[in-house]
Amino acid sequence: MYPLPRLTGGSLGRRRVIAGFVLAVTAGPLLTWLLYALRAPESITSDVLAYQVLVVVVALVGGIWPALFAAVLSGLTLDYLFVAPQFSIAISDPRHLWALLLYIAGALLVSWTVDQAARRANAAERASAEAAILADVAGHVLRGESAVPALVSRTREAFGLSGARLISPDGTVIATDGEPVRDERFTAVEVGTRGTLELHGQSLDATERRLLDVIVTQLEGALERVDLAQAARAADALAATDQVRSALLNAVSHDVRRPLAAAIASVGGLRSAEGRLSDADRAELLVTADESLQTLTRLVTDLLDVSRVEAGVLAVSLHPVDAADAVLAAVDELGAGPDTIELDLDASTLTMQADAVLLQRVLVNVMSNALQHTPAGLPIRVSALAAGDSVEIRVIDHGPGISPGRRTEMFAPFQRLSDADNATGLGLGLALSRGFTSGMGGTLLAEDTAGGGLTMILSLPIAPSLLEENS
Amino acid sequence: MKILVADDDPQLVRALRITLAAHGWDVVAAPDGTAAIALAAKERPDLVMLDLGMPHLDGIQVIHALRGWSSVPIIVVSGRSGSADKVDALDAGADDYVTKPFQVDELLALLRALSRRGTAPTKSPSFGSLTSPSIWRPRR
Repeated sequence: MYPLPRLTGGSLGRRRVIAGFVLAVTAGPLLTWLLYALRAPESITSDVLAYQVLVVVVALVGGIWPALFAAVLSGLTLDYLFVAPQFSIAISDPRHLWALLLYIAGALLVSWTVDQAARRANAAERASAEAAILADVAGHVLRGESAVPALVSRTREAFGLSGARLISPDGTVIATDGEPVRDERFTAVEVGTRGTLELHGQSLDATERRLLDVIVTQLEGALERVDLAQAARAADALAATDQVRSALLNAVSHDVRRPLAAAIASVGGLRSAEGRLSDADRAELLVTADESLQTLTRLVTDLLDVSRVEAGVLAVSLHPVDAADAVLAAVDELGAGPDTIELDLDASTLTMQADAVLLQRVLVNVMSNALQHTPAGLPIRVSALAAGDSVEIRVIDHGPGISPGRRTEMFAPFQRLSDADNATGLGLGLALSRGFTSGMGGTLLAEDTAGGGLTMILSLPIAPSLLEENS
Repeated sequence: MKILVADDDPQLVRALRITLAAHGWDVVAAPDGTAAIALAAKERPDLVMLDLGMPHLDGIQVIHALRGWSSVPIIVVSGRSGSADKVDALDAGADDYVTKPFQVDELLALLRALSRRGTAPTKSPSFGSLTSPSIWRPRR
């Protein structure tokens, strides 16, 4: 996009006018010297035509003012040097006076025509530049990609300003371009009720103002579009939240009631059959109540964490964590032996930036998921290795795997919405694992295990101190 | 008195088994719908306590299957608390509906009430005809 050509006082640019004057004062004496050297009594006609050509050329180059200057100067020269009486402004023959006047009139007409043509060319160029600006501006608004900042910089470029910025009604800068330094050549335009556009480094004339009005209207449209997009996103988020909420109610009601029912039945049994219970029965009821309440506690913790992850208020405290330590702690929590989990940990120390508590829950979730989906007798494999500036922990199983189409779904919470299957839980595990991982600035991905099965890849950044040592 | 407890939650079954046994019931337990029907045919319980959400065969289907040959009192104990679920279960032939979690005292009282009404003679499974619970159960 080009800067908008400026409409100057004259029709032509200042540079061309100066060039015209320079041409008039250099070519004029040169031509005079040539004609004077070659002059003859009958050469007056060709002399006049020669000067005429000079004036036309000057008019073509510099427009009306240099041409006028050249016409008057050449007229005087003709009169002084070539028209009798020579070396005098006086003219003896009235026909010569008439010829001189005609000559000056012709020169004026030609230079005026040239000037008009130049003015129209200039106006046409400007109109097409304006059209280009407007098309560009409209395109940005329609395409919507960061339309507002683009419009602000286009405005600055178009008017050849040193700086432009858009300020919202509460005073925050929405977009800025160039060097917005306040000086006396400062223009502020209201963009509807959505802000103020400040233009610095050039005062704008009426034509430019009209163009600016159009741009400002577009800018207002772009701002409105941004607001609408935000509202639409918020509405989507609300709808999604609503969906999650009703799914949660369905699934949670069953999953909360189940352990709660067992716990209440156990405690109720202890109370109602007080004297009739053997010690063994009493102990079993207590264990049942205890286990059920633990199940309930885990469930409630997971639910709270899901809502924290979804609300984006998960408390994460990142510290360097040794990958091998984290894996071993998770294996320990699962109570798994070497026949169920094979470890393949890098001999060198791998320290990653993570929240140890969250990381352990991610690893326990992912590993227990892998164990759940692996046929008994087949161990799962857990490896940790450095990959670029991150540490990758892979949990590899040889279970049935998951089709690529379901890989996004498997990370969504509340997938199981029926109460017919108590073994799978609410499907919070993987959703939480992914939420926790991205909370720690990492990624959790699923891919196929070579030869069948699923590989979960947990990738977390290497701890910064380690990065510095390496580099 | 023999009671069949059909529920897929082992913890609840364990708690109920001990509690009901302490209150004089002879408890048999089934972990899913198919096992519940098989056990009901084999053990001929005086009462059936049935969960709705079970693997293999849904509780409602179990009620239909049982009602095909038996008029044993069926009490549904379910985590589903919707009105539609209750209507479906009772229409299918259940005698009462208890929502989880429940108070043991209330459950025991309900079991006593159902058993007081007397157990109607159950037909042999081979008869296979549908019998409405209202035939054996006196109208209130």
